[in-house]
Amino acid sequence: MKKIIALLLVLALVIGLVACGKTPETPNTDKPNTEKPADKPADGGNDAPPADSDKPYEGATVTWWHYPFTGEDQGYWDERAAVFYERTGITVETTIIPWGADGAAKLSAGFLSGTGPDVLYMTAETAYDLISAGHLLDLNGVVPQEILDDEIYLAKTATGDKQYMLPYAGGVSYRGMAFNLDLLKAAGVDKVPETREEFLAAALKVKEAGVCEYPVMLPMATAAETTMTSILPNIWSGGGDFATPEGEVVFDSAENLETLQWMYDLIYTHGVLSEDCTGIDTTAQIDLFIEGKIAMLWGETWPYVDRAAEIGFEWTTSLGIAPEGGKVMTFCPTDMVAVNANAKNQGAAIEWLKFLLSVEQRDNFRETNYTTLLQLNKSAAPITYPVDCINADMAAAGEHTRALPIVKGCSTMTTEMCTNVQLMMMGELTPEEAVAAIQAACEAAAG
Amino acid sequence: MKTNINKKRRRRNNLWGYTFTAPSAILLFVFIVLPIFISVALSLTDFSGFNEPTYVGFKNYVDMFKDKKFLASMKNTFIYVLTTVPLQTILSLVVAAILAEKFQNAFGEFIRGTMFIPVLCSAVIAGNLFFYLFASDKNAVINSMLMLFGLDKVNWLGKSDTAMLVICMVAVWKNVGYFLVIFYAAIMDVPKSLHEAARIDGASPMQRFFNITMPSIRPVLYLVITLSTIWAFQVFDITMVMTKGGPGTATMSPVLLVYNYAFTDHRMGYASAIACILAVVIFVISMLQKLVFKEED
Repeated sequence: MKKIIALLLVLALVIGLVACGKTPETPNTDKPNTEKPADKPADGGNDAPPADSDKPYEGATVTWWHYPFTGEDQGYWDERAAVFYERTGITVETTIIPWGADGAAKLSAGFLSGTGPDVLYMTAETAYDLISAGHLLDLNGVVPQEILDDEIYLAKTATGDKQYMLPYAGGVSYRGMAFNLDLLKAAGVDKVPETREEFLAAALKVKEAGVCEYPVMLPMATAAETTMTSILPNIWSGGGDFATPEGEVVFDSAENLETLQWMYDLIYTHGVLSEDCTGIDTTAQIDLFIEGKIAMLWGETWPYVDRAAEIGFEWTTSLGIAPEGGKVMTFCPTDMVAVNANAKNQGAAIEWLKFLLSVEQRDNFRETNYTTLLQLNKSAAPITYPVDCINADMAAAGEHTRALPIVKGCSTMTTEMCTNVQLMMMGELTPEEAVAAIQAACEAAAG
Repeated sequence: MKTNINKKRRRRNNLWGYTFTAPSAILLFVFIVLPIFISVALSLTDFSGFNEPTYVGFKNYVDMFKDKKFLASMKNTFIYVLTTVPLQTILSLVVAAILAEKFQNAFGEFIRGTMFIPVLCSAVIAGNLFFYLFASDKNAVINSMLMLFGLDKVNWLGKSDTAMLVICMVAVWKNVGYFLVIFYAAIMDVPKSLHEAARIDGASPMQRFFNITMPSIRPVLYLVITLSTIWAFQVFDITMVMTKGGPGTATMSPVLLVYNYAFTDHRMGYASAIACILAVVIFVISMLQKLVFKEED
């Protein structure tokens, strides 16, 4: 008897485990109550709607994966999906996926198991792998040409003659510099530096005057900060690069060596940059800037916009500095949106994509989610940002910003740049050794 | 006749045994054994996580031994193991011995309970807590205390040597309580008559500890050292939260490297190869430890 009871308990446990293995549905209390007839089968984009319907894909369902911005993203996208549903009869099911490796893992599992999203927000780091595995749809000829023509940054997301992705969240946290004008004035610096030479002169004056704890701060604590904020803007402004659009690694150049030497000298020759830079993360640096302890620093844009009210001194921003005669270039992530090549209903997915790219939706997203979003539509009215100095930077952003190239091993390359430059800034590598190490590691990543 | 009946009964009992252990065995096979084989298979491919795997032979293993980050991570792990395992073991053993000898009372219980609290705390929370304690700016807790005593602030997490020191400190802080409880139970299990006899013979507490307690708790000591060594090789959460393996590669661990290669760099095949090598290293070290303890026995 006891054995039978024990066996029944074991069976109950197994059944419970099997039941728990089912993926719970994403809660969506705002979902319109509607019957959903079977989706039209994907047929390579030729699912032409009935000619006489103004809601040609009514009843279809589109899955949309998005990264978090505000913490209330699910609610936001459910509202927008409801607006979209009213117009098109298409149900959009949003899943918020985490940033970073966890999100990449979810994308990987989704695509491999055939449960990936129909439309996805993606970053450059995953682009190459998704494209080379054939998971993304070439949008040329699928998205109406007038929509493509309206995209200001279309070329930045092209892959050769293919358009697998479109710009989605450009301008989000472009990298630039911030200056505490009160500290600079107190040190006798009247002009915001525009060149490396002016910058060094200003930093030395600030150091000599002893007006603050850190004349200069360069984020070096984590991979994202180090590469996107400190390395790429400076090597690009110095006329160098790390990889061509074709995937050839070109880090070993005289320009890059000069830039790395310049960064190294900030600590070990001029003493204007503290060795603490490898241990203080971006958030702490912004705090220190707001407390008036840093005169000049590199950083992302959005913290200054979000915390502008806390800054109690005169300040300004710029896109960066370059060697005399050079052109300032900085990093600006052009996060993208793409369509799954195996979307269950490509037509419906393209309708949702068109909605995402519209001026109306982008304005709404900017107002509610991210105030420093770049203007992405040619047809949109010029955007005014809440902070004056940011307006000037944003106006120039198109010409002076670059995104990561879509090449094999891009993610590894950015990590290798970070690791070796950190070692250099800690004094464990010379600039020459750092350049050589990065070149070798990037070549290995590029295969 | 009787033999046949016994055989039948044994067979029936065995069948019940298999039936009850089958679900666990199936789960073990599906979630532990099968993934190991899949991981070994993936280690021979260029699987990115998005594409279909393509066989590349032992290329991943060859590349691994030329990979400076992998070599650095293994070096870091050996430093970490050689620092944390002896520290944790000795500290937990000494405290357990003192508590067992002198404080078998409410105070002793309080100490054991307090020292066990870090064990209950998640590694992520512990990592974040110590991150803010040891942040490099002068407003951080440790640095402000140092400056209070007229000392210079230290770039704890931004320098290779100090970053590893902090990571080891967090690990010891977190694990000592666990091994303390294990050692305490083992020490309390040593027959009191042995200690009484030794006391009568004039043995000092130290002599009793080394000649009675230590030999008696050998199996537990072996367990503690083996467990803490295996855990040390698997360190991930603390380094992920506090330093993400930096600065440079100063605190990079093999498991964190596997995570980065698999999910950030989309090199699942290569990451699987590193995981396989790590498993082999842990296995070899565990066998060596077993041999050492067996020889001394």
